[in-house]
Amino acid sequence: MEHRIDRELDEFRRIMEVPSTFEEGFRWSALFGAIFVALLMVPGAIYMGLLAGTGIGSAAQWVTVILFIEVARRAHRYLNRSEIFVLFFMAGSMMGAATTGGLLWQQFFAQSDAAAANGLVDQLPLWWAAPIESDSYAQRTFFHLDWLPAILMMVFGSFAGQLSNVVLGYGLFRVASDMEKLPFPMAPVGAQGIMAMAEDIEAKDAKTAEDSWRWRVFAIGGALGLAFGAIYLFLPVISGALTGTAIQIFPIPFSDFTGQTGLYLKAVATGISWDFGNIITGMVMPFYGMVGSFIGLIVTVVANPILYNHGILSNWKFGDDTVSTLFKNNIDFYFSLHIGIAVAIALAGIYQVARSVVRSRRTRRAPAGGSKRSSWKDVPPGRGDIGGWAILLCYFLVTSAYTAVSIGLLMWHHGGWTTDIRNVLIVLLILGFFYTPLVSYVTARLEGMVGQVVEVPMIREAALILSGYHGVAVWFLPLPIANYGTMTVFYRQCELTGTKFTSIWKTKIILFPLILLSTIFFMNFIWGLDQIPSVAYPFAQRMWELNAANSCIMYSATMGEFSMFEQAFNIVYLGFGAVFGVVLFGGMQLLGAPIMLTYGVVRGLGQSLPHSILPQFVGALIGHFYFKKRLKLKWRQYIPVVAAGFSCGMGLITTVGVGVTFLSKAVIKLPF
Amino acid sequence: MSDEPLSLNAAARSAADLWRLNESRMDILRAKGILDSSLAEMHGRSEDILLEAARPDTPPMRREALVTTSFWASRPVYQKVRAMLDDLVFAVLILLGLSVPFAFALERVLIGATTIYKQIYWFVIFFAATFLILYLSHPAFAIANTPIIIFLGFAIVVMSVMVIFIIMRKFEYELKAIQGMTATVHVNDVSNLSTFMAAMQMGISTMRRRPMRTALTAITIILLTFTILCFASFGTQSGIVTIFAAPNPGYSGAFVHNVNWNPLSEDLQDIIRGRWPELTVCRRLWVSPATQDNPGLLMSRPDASRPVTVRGILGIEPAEIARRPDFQEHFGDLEANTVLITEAVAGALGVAAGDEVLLRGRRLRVGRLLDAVQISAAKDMDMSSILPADFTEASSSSQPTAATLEGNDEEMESMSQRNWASLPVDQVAVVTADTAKAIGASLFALTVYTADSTAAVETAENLARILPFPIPATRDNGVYRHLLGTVLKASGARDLFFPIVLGGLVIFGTMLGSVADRKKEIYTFSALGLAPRHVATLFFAESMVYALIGGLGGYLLAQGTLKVLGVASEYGLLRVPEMNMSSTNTIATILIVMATVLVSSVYPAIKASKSANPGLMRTWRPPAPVGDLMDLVFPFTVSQYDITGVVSFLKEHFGNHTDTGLGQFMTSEVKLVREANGDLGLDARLALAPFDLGVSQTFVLRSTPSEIPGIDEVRVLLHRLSGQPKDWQRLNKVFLDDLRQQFLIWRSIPPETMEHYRQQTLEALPSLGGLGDGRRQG
Repeated sequence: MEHRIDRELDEFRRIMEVPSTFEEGFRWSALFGAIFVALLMVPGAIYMGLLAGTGIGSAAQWVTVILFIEVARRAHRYLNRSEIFVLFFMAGSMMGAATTGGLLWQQFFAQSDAAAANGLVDQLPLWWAAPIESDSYAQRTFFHLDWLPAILMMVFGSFAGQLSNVVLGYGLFRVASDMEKLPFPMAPVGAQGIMAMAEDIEAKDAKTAEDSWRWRVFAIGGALGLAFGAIYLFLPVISGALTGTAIQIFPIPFSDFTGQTGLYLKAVATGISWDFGNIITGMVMPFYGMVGSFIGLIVTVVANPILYNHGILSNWKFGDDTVSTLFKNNIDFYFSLHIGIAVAIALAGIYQVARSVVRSRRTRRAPAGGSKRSSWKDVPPGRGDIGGWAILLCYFLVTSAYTAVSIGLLMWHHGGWTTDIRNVLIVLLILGFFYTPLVSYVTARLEGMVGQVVEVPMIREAALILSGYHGVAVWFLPLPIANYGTMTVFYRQCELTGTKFTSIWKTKIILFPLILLSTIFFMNFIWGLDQIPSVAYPFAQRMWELNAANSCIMYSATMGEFSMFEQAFNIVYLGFGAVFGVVLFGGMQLLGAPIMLTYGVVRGLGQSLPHSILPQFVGALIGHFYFKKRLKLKWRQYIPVVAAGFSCGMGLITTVGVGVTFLSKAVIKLPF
Repeated sequence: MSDEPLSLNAAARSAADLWRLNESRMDILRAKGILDSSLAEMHGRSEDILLEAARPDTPPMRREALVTTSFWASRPVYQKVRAMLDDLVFAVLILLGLSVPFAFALERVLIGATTIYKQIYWFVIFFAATFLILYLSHPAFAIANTPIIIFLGFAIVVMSVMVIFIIMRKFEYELKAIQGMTATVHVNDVSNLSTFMAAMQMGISTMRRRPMRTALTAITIILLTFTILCFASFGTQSGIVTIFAAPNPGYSGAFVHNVNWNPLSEDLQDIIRGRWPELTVCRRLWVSPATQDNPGLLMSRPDASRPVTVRGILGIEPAEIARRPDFQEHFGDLEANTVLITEAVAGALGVAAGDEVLLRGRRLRVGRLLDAVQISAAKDMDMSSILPADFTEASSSSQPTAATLEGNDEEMESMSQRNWASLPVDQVAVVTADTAKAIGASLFALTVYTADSTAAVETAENLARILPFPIPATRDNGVYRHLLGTVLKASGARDLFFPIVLGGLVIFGTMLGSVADRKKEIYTFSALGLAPRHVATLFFAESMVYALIGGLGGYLLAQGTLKVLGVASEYGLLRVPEMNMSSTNTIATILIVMATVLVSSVYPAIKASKSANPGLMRTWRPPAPVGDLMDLVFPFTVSQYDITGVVSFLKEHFGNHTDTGLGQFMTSEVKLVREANGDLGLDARLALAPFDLGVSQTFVLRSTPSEIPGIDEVRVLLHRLSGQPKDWQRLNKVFLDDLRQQFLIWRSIPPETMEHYRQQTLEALPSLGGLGDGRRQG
């Protein structure tokens, strides 16, 4: 069966060929794009987030790219695909930075009722929020000496985070893509969209209409997204804004049947997500991955009632809805099981990497054998690669800096060295030098195989609580914990669009200060407009106090009170997960089952999104047995572009909806 | 005012807070030169009252009354100031919205940059300049910074819509491409929007070619806007409005009641007494059923026999009876424990004057029996009956409440003039106010008696300033209702009519002159293929630019002038009238001017489009059918040589419509034919869209020789097969237009393509071989 695995992997890898030349994408267009996003999109996004709670990220990206292409076209200049990619990526990272609560959340939390009620206000470290007696709160400004430590920490955190993300992500990409030749099924979705834009431009140049199929497919996907988005998101948003009652034809986020089916299926979350995007995702993803997910889902449907009857899923009660069912199941069993499975995935990955290294050595000895796996040094020329030692050095330095800064801050906060700090140091070292590389690598592989992210939920919380630290300061440290695995997809897209990696790094270096400045400046400006939260920001007003209360529950876990994490962490289940994972991988390997099937099963066992697995499976079936039969290999090329267009269309229509709500609710009238 | 808290009681606190809130808001308005002396006066009165209340020697009761009246007096100020500020924020949003096309138009007219980068660059500069002027001059930015953010949100929505538009355009194009309808020559690929944009660019470039004329016209409109703005921007003034209600009664005073006879607060009497101790304030209490199913009050003899139900109770203060001669006559012997009833009620009870009765368990002596006729006719000063209103007559749900009426002068006035049905006198018992209170009556009216009408007027005006309903009071020449309302309305449409007509005529003249000037140009455009509609667009575009530049330019000029005048007045050089250049009124004015400019270019634009196409009718009308047959000669002539190609060209076009979906018709059985006499033609069966109407027909096209040798006429015969005759006629108009377009396109395709189609015909009908050539020679 080995050949079959390779066939599907190959099919995905062949959707888009890596171009032979790589171009520089960082030009003036990127800088102007950055200024455009910084001045127009960032404040709008922050404000809309506070007001309506919805980000406009992906739509903002497409709006920026399509408008820039249009303007350039009118100037008879044509952006090449690298420029478009850089523009797209730049807009994305700026919007990502803009939508988080950041300083606005910090100032709110410091003043929140929840923090006061839990006695956290005096314990909040200076590097996270200005002391409550600071007059910056009365003046509503971050440009105040009391906020300097917090802003410096924000700068340090984002700088170190970006640096290690870019560099370690690159290293993982080299391993997962260059060496292991994993297909990265989701990478073409973003890349194909950009290719569509670029191809349209090129077609206008050369009048090669037949070749520019991507724009056509993108436009069809876009229209599909607009049409579905109009019913699924725009209608409820608009009707809610104008009449006060949201008309939902398809329930958002899903229809929940758990309350009814709980009688027969104990501790199983049942329901269905009506988002048409799931069907499309199912078509894009590897077929066997989707089959595996479905099998995983079936396994949970069978296993959960048994686990419930054996008292393992003990917290579940009849009548619980999806959210509480999943939450309780996680606490009771799946949290530990997943950590175990993650370990197994990592082991499997390491085994495969090791095997590939051995094989490549053998291949070198016997040049006639045509293995697919390559060595570290095999890189396409002109891509702008850097040496392996630089990656390791950078990662080591960044992680050490994180650890040193964190311990330094703790010593500053406590006025000296304590055993608590020693424990935290041990935890930081484990997180930074063991957990982060492990989870990043596992994610890189999962992304590479089935386009999935492995998330071990609450690991940060668990680690900090298990460290035995007393106090809350530890929650606000810049921890060396991250998942760089997702960056591999990004680098794969970069490669597929023929963008030199150096242009990405240049963009980061130039744009980083711009992003920070515009975010801090506009957050300050928006805080200056009005108290946050206040009646002017209905979403923040409604949700933030609740979020603060939830955060306080977690923070109080290190203040010597009961914590559910201790309850959730079960070494037996963890071991079971690891053994199960290893057996699963080994068994599948022996049976010769497609590798994506295995990863799919792991994904299906996850308690994160059971309601979307069914529509995704339906999508996979339709794609595999209908479209693929009709369109052959073209299908694999078409569907990622459709998906990109679909997400663009959905994003745009949502943005319009949110914008209209925003305008209708915006404080055109004085609140009193 | 001192910052010390006046006292710890809530009324004082609220009054001071409301005053301060008003003060801070009016401060912003003052700083931006938006003055309203009447509001300032009301605000000042409220402050005076507060100051008096804060004086240490003020007795507690009076202090309470003072702070409450101050709160009430601040309320209209609060409402008006808040409305004004909301209005400003709204206005600035529209101005910001207008400044986008304004900046665009300025760039086009003043700079006319050739590359898009320079266009964007200049656009940004003009927009920033406009924004800066607005930011510095418009008070909305001082009230809230949200307009900037709102504007950003607006920009994001607009850009998203633009991108949606781009994607949808592409989608439509691709959809047509899938149907194979784009690559052929049959589509006249002229989108309305791009033609409109091109026409607009041309219009603007002609403006640039005649700078003097353009500048003068623009200045005229700017000045016009400025003038009209000055007319329209005088703020309204609040003050006491008086409306005649009735002739004078025999006493002087004021009458306080809700317009819809809702109960009054019991404290109102205390507050009026506390504030104006010299006045006599008398209560009027009623019991009056609100719904039909209310049984009313039981009245019986002391031994509970012969019970009678009365529906209402009227409570009158003895002090009031003493002040009013008519009351003395009717209710002269009303005392604390007496009840006055009509003869009919007394008869039903079997009692006479002096007997005792039980009214809701209370033992009362029957006083002198009432004269039903006289009591029914008795009126208060505003001609309302003295008897309790019958609420069951007027469905309570349909009555607006006092709160909804507040601020709506006209509605309130019409309400107060309504005649309310009163309870029949035979269903009402009259007692003293105290007794009525004890029985459970509510306060419905207060009568304030004054020494003379001067005092009455003063009282009424004072009360009207604090109470949200009209106060009838006696004046020297009758009873008038007093209401806090708008006394000066300078921004009425009538005042603006003539300046606007004048401005419209100026534009009209300019545009008409421009059409006359540019006859030759129009012919050139038309020769270049610009349709009459597009020529009209050209003129519209021009007037739109004038409208934009004139509208917002005039506004900015007015704001600037006001600013300069404000500075000058600070040095005492002159006195500036109160003008509000920032309100929605002003915006409406700008929009009216802009609309006028556009409307006045309608006729010149039509005229221009007519001169673009002098010989032909602008739309061609097919002749009426005879029965189910429409036989028409198409308004096109084709050379006998060309017709050989035309039929194949049309066949191909019809062939593209064999599939339903897009398009205005569906075809089947399309074939080329040749008559025995050699005339070429095309036959087909057609179904016309929308297909659910079921209209189908046969289509026969024949070339017939015309009067001119070598030139053929095109004859079309349409025979209805199904569908309603009216639908058939209507839908054919669309179809024939499409066909006409194909003939137009035929003329624009290159000769080699024409030859290609000719060859197709020759191949399809081989017997024609040599015919075409022969005809050509012929």
